[in-house]
Amino acid sequence: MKKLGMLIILAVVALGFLFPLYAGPYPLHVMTTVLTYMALGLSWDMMLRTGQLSFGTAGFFGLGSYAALLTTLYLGLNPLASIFVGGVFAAIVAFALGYAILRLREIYFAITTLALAGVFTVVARNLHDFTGGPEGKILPSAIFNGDPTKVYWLTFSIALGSILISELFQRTRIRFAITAIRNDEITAKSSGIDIFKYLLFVFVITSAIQGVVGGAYAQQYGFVSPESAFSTNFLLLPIAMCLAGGIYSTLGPVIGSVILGVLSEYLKLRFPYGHLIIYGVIIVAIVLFMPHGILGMLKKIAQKTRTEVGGNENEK
Amino acid sequence: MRNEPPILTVEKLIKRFGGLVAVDNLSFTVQQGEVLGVIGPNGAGKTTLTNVVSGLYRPSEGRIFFQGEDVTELDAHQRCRLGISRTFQLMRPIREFTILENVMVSALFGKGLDLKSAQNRAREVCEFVGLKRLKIPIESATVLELKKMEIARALASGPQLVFLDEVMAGLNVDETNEMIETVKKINASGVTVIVIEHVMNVIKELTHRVIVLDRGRIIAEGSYEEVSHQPEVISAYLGEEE
Repeated sequence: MKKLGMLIILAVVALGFLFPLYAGPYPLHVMTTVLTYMALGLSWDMMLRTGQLSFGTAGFFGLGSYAALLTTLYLGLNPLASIFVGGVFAAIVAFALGYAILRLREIYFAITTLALAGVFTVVARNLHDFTGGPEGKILPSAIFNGDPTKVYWLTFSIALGSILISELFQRTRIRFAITAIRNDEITAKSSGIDIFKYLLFVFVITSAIQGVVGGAYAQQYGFVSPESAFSTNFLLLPIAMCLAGGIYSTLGPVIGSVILGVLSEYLKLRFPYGHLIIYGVIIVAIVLFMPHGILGMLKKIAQKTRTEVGGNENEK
Repeated sequence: MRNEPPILTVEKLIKRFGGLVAVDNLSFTVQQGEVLGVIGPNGAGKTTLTNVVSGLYRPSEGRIFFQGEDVTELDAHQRCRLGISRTFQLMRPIREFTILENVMVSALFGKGLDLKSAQNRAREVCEFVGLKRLKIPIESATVLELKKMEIARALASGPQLVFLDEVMAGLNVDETNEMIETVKKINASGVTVIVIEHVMNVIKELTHRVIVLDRGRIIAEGSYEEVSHQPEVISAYLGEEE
């Protein structure tokens, strides 16, 4: 059973990696977008696993976008290296801010992260000489000269990296620490967990992912502006995808981003006018009727069929 | 035993909540290897004292020394790693975890073990306290199992000093006797124990020495036989359910 699971995972990864070889340019573009949201969704979920609801996703995405694009523009840094710089920059800012705001909890933390993203936007818009103000900055050329296959592979690698980090969170002592913190901070600290250290660690790692994704996005278009870099799309869509797929897991955000990402494109083609309304209604319906997401529902069905087939063996 | 320095020294400890003084100028010491009983009516400050010494609350005034080291400024997780651990009167399991995983948490972080060793340690400790169903979810555990799990978690971090906050409350006679044997075993393994309890038989059975609290102050101290006959103690308990 375990071997079969490994085989399926390898097959999916191979299919994903080879996607440009059998898919046309349009599906390729759609999948690149899906993978961007997948990485963002995973990073948001990883923070949520500590019990902290962050609305800072778009903020750190934007910081990474700016850091990557401006280092290439001003310092002539290689675009790939600049994406890495985007991640490091977001991580440094998250470390400094996290020191102050990770003492907040629940709605206070959520609102503060949202406000910080707003502050980043204002700063980017007003440093005219450096960031280009509201118009933003343009590079002479996009990364890989705009080759969609290479851009896809870049995004694929980032998403795969996010999946690996997420699984690392799920399979090591980190899972025990953050699950304990999410459930009961008093029990957690009485069991020897340094809560602040773990929150800061997860906040920095997830912000770094968001910065890398933002950097890749900016380099993909060779362009950055306050509206594109700090767009609420990068905040709300990943959250919707996680809720649809199922939170507190790696598979949930992955499933959610693929289904909602593809669905959104399909609706756009099918209903050029009003597709966003249908999309919104579907998200609301999923959250209302599948509180544990698609993954949670699949698990429930699997459990039910197992007990029905095998009699009541699970009852003690 | 008396010649050794005390494992815990509490000096002029005060904890105020607004105008309420929950712990009022407490000073006492606990000797290495001792079983100390802390009794007193509801609201006497027993649980507050536990919270202050285990680090969940900072004291308003006073100092706490553990094994000669001043731990007053340390956080709860640091005190846990130094060797002070505790159970919760109102049990606080991690609901998403199984019994075993709950115990593993403090082996991982309190004792600093890796995953594999923490699992082994958690199994050992669970066996030590008599837990058998290790992989069950919390919602299907009995009260006795949850109480044992609280103790197992407190022990898995490898403490020198453990607070047992009303671990016998709500148990029947057989269960209480089993629990008394467990606490004796814990003490025999070299761990100093502070028992906070309402059930007088338990205090009588287990403790070498008893502190009686009332309104945050020590009103009597001595062996169970000594304190149980003092008029202050009897009057403090009058009108209680006991």
